[in-house]
Amino acid sequence: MGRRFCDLRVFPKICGGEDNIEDFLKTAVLLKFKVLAFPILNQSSIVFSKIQRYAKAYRIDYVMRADIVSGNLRYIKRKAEFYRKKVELITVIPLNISTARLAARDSRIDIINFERFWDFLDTRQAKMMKRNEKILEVSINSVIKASIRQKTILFKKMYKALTIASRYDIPIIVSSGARNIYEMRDPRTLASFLYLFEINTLQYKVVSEIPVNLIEKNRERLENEIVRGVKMG
Amino acid sequence: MIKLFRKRYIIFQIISKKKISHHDFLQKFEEILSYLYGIRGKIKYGIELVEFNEEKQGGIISCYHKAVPYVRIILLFIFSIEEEKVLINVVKVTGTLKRARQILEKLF
Repeated sequence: MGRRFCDLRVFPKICGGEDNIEDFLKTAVLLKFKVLAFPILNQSSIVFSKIQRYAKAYRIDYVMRADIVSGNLRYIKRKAEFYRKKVELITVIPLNISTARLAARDSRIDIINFERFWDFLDTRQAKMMKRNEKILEVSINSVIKASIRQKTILFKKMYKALTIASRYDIPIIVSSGARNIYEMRDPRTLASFLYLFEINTLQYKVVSEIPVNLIEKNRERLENEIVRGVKMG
Repeated sequence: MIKLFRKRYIIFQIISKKKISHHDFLQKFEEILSYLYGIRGKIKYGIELVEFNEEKQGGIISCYHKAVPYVRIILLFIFSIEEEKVLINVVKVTGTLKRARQILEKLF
């Protein structure tokens, strides 16, 4: 069996993007993705089942994901509690250092995405993320869309942060963050983005093994866990 | 003896609403190549656009075998050409130009 490539962050129309879900699924098939995740907040279960039906038709594994973007500790805690038993992946995009630390501490959160605030990822943050088995997400959309001046500044910050992350062996995943189908990229191209920062050791794991293992672990949790840490049978 | 510099040929395909000309693609490609790696990178990685088929909207880029991910990064950064949104899909990486041309011919 071949690799199961994942793009864990795309935004169809329903999530504030430009193109329909079907267009995204068609493009994902063309680019040889097997797993796709849309960050959906405040949607009913009917919408979820509709998306799942579409994805099944295209033989794509759809993953439910919640993105919590906030600088408020109480808001993040409340949302994390609400979504933990509903979705497979919970991601936090921290807007200040205290929420970044909370995201690294909280066991309900799976992924941390710094988007443009890469300076929050220092050695202390990296140690906390490693201890609590958090995954770092790199979305390429915020990088490629920036102007040349912004890009250079962002690269500098990212280089520093990703070097720290690789030094502490934090698992990294790369996603496109595409808002239309033209911003999607094939999995191997996504993975090669880390070569720019001289992180060559992870190779294709960042778009296959690491996200797939996380999804499987969380699906098992959702099925069998009664309370956090307590399993059935 | 194993050659120190082995060539790889990257076959790509452009997906967009409008047809992209060879000139426009080359201009954008060179612009990003010089922004990311400069003249030093161009020599070090041996990056070159070998062929571009306007009809098939695809092409072949050659580079040294260790530089394939670096070429992929250039293609990742091309998301619009002449204000037209484009998606560049790397179809295949081959070791010979003959095989690369065969694959390019088979593109829809």
